[in-house]
Formats: sequence, C-alpha cells, structure tokens
Amino acid sequence: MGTGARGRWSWCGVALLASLALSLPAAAAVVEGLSLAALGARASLVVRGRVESSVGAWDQGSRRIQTRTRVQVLEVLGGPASSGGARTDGSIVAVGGVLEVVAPGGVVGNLGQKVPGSPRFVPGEEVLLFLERVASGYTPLGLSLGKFTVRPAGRGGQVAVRELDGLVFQLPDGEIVPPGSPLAPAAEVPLPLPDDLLDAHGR
Amino acid sequence: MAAELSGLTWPRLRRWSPPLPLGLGLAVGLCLTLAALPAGAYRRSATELADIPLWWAETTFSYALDRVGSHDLDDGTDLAAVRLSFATWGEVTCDGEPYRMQIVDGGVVADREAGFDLESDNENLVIFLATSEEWRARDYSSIAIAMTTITHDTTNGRIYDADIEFNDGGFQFAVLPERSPALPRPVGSAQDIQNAATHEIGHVLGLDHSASADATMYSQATAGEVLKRTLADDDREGLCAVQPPESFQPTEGDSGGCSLVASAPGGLRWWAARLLFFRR
Repeated sequence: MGTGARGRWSWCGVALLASLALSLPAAAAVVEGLSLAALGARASLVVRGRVESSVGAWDQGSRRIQTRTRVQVLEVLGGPASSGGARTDGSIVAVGGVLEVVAPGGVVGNLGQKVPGSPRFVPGEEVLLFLERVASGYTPLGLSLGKFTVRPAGRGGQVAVRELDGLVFQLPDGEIVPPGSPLAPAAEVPLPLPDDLLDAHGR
Repeated sequence: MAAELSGLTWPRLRRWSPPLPLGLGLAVGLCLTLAALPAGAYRRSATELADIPLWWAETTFSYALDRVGSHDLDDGTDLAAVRLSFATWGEVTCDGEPYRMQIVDGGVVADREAGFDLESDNENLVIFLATSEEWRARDYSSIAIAMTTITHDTTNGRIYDADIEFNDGGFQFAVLPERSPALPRPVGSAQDIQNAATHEIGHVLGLDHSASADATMYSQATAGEVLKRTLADDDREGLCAVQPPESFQPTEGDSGGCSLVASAPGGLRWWAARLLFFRR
C-alpha cells in the first residue's frame, strides 16, 4: 500500500475513532457522593478479589434481571471476617473462599435490563469491592461507586480504578455533580488503601 | 425545492467516484458532521455492551404511577409533579410537527414491582419505595437515591419497558417552590420531584446526559434546583432525534447509514432533511 493510500486510511481511522468516542455511553443513577473514607465506613465488607464468573439471571419471583458475580477472595480488608467474625448467614468470608456479589441489571438471552451506574464485572479481573448486605447477599455500595478494578501502576505498585460513567452524585447540601467534577468521588485510588480507612473496620 | 436541490448537485456527484478509503472517510465524516450539527450536546442512551442506541417502537407511551407516592408528601402534589414532568416532554414539537410518540397518563396502580414480566402486559412505572426495607429487598444499594431500569432487546436496542424508582425511605423528596436566582439556596438535601422526574423521564425516552449546562438532561444540579422542570432546546432536539416525526419515521433497525454514531439512528435522516430544507 502506498503512502497516499495509507494516509487516506489513516484519516478514515481518525474519523471512525472520533465517532466511537462520541458514542461512549453515560447515564443516570443518583447516589450519595461518598468519599473513600465514608465509603469504607459505610461498607459492611471490603475485599480484594478476582472475578471468576459474571452471569445475568432473573431474580427469583421478580421481574428483574440481576448480574451475579462470583469473586474469589484474595484479601479481606474490612468487615466481620477481617476480625474473625461471621456473615449474617453464618458463613465466613475468608481468603480463598468465593463470594457472590449481586448487581442490578444484566442480560439473559437477548433481553437486557440496563440500570445506569450498575457495575460490570469481567472474568479474570482483579477487583476491590466495598460491599453492603442486601436481601440476597452482597452488592457494591453505591453501584459502580463501590467497585474498583485493580491495575498495575508504576514501579511495581497498584492502583484501583472505578468506572463512574452512569452515576451522578448527590452531595450533603443537595447539589448533584457528575463524575469528573472536583466535588465528585475520585475515579482512581492509589493502593494500598490508607490505614485509617482500614482501621474503621477494626484492622 | 427538493427537486431543485437534486438538480443542482446530483450530476457532478455522479460523475466523480472517490477511491474507497477516501469515500468511506467522507461518508463517516458526513455522518459525524450531521450528528454534531443539531446541537452536539444531547446524547442517546445505548445498550451496555454493543452500544446500540435504545429506541421505542411504540407510538404511544403509557406510564403509570405508584398509587402510594412519596411518603414525604400526602397532599397529592408528588404525583401531580410527576404528571407535569411527563406533560413537559409530551408537549415537545419538532419544527411544528409532533414527534413520533404520544405520552399517555395510565393512571395510578397498586403495582410496585419494577422490571419486566415475560408473561403479561407491562406498565412503565414510577415508584416511590417508602421504606429502606423495600429498597434492600430488591438488592439495591442503600446509598442509591433514584434508579432507572430499561428493559430492551440487546440485538437492536428496542425498549420494551422502562421504570423509575425513588428511594423514598432513605432520602427526602419535596415539591419545592419556584425561586429566582436572587433567592438564597435552600438548606437541606431534599430533591424537587418534578425536577428529578423530568430528568429521569428523559432517560426513559432514550436520552442520555447532555453536555449542555442549560439542558434538563445535564448531569449536574444545584441544591433545591427546579430549572430542569422545563426543557431546553437541546432536550427538544434530542427527543426529536430519538423519536422523529412520523414523516421521517425510521424503519426497525435503520441506523440512518451511520451505525457507529450513537447519537442519532433514524434521527439522523430527520436532521439531514431538516438541514437541507428547513434551516436558513
């Protein structure tokens, strides 16, 4: 392929990339705009883990699709298990065990239920989860606000990143801000988590 | 007028055949330009994975309100506020033509279950869940204030049902008074029902957040805000792109030739025609 042809294809690629950028989804569940410290204080369980599977299914007896995600626990950072306690259902959240996390929305066959702001899980993904108890298990606190993806950072370190698209945040005075606002919760948190956050859970 | 335009442009275009890459780039560029020209601020809602724009096939959108309403208000102003929100979207016209959907008040119902029933008719519900227990029973996070569930076909984006739920047990909702910018900001975090509902209904109708700060579909709101009760031009243009008037009705699966652009399948054609024939 000649230089001129490559140039034309490059422009075509630029146009396509621009169109894809314009098509990125966003949307709208309103959640409390909790800081990381407040999130830690409100969470009933904080774990680091690896996603084994994530499947959409009808919630029994309801009209709702939920995404049920199995997470292998790599580290318990906060919650009853971190101090040797038990979950309310009697089981222990322990390193090496598997935790099921439910999130609203998902896909069953060709039918989807979109709940803006609900987190997505990818098998193999390493996650940091701030969870709360709900009727059928645990759910991320504040939808995507409570779900981070753990990624490598410079010099062998790690960083936790969360996808906040799909949420808006209500502040204590009633103001509502979108992700990216200086007043909104940060999308990226350096790891390890601050000690004072973990101390809130008795570690 | 259309014939005159055709006569001016077609002969030259038909004689020139651009090379494939350039032609493809031009086509994509034209699509992008057309998509950006209407306002460039509104965005369409899309499926989670394939990013296919969501759309309603029905020409009548019937909504039903939770009979109980908000426990913060027992004088009926809560449901009246939601009705006003739907009416605001229902009054939109696209260059004088009604858009391709009629919004109908389906009354109040006892049904308080959001989602989709595979075996019976479904209502597009607005529900105030009065207690934290009700909210938690649905496995919802306690710090979520309002959520929208849109049931759709993942293969083509067609919406079957859409419900809005407010966490009325965990948070305070109100019908706030109109206020001028000169008045001080109200104290407290109560959300104006009409302000919030008008915004959420925009999502139900297929709109995503807008980049325009004046728009109802803008993602930011100040404390005690009531500005989103009324629509901005950007909101109207967005709705006209999602639900173009009958005269420009898209066929199912029609992406207007620009399937990569989420901001206007079908609507693109309407905007293109509008640019050619209506704009000065």
